[in-house]
Amino acid sequence: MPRYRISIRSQDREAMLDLVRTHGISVHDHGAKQDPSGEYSVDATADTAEIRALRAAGYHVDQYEDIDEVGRARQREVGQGDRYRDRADGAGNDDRRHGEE
Amino acid sequence: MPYLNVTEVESALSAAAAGSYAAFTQLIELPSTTWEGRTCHAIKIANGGGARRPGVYFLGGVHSREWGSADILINFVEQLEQAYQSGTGLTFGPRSFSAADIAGIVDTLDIIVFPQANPDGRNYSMTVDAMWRKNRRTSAPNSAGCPGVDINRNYDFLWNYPNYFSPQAPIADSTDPCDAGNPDNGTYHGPAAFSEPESQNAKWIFDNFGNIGFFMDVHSYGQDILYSWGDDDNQSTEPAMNFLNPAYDGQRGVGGDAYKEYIPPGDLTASLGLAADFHDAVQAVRGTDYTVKPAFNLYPTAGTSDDYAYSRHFVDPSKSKIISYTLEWGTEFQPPYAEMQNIITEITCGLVAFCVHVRESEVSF
Repeated sequence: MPRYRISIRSQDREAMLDLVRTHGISVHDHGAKQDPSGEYSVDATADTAEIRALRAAGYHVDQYEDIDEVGRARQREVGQGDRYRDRADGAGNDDRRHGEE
Repeated sequence: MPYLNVTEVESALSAAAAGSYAAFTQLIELPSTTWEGRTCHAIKIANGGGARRPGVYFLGGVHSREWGSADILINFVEQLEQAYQSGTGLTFGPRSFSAADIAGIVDTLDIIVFPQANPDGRNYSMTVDAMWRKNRRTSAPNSAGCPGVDINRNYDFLWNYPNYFSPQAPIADSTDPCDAGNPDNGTYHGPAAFSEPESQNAKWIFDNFGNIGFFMDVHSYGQDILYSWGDDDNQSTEPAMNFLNPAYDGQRGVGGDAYKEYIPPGDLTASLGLAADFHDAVQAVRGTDYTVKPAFNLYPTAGTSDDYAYSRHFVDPSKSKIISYTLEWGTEFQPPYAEMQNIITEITCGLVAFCVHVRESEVSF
């Protein structure tokens, strides 16, 4: 089942606490925020069944990207091999990956 | 220029301690090998010695999916070394640090960087499940079907949280290796405090560099600079109301109620001052406005690195006080690398400012 990044919003503090206590939602660490109007929000990861259940329970849920789909795209942005080793031969100390940026 | 893979982070550390850099660096092999047999390293940057030198400890790569943390810390190491060796300053957009600032850091502080605490998890995240968070323990009480411990719930700070927290606390920890059937939670705290090689290595650095007085654990995401405590709201008026006092067992972790965790006023001032300099340096690069706040907001935590680090001197007064933070960089776990490079630049600027502040600080050490 696809997993999505979501943002859950509520004016009700107790309802936000129940995301963890009652609904077992995977809220992201330290991610809860409160805007000037007093509304709370927190990002989380959820599948479609969880999103449906949260909406049925009265939460406002914004659904964003499929995190596995994005994750696979990001995995293509991971270096291959060992760029440090490949450049080390005769390059000396100054041939540094980030130092070149 | 993509993210560093697991091998490259270790190679970067080796390179950073080699050649002429060896004159003022030390590659530190950490004692606990990971569940998949990997050996981890940290690096110490310091020209000179002496027990009175303040130590600064930057940790990263704890949560598997937060790939950029290791890249940030490797960049910090490289930038600091290169500037020191060449006798130059550093510039990040409009924010500059003088050659004297850089020399002051390396000549008067011990900078210890452990950028890849959880290489097994990073490798799994980079090659299989990008959203993986924990380590890769499969030994009991874990199993092949329910692998992994959340390293940042495995430190010895209120670790056995059901004994210490209110049953009403919405705590983001789990005692279940299967994370209550929801692997997305990923907060299983392990079979015992410091049961995991990754947290053992992080602790070993605290234990073996007793002069560490400042600590930051680099995570994502949220654009937050978090200071202690994470188990409950802070208070600075009732010293006896604290995590060591069993009279408060069963009351912790519910915001807005009577129990609040004690932080001495001087420590709060020090924490805020250092965080403010870090914030300002990050913001100077391209305007990103991180929020400085306590680690506790709606959801309490137990067993985390920042609270463990800051708690050590309360538990054992012979240990040094460690002003501690968790950084939550960025707005997603794995930004496109083009954006990650911008984050690397602004956080590196913040880390340099952090060190400058420590060097110039009048914080009692």
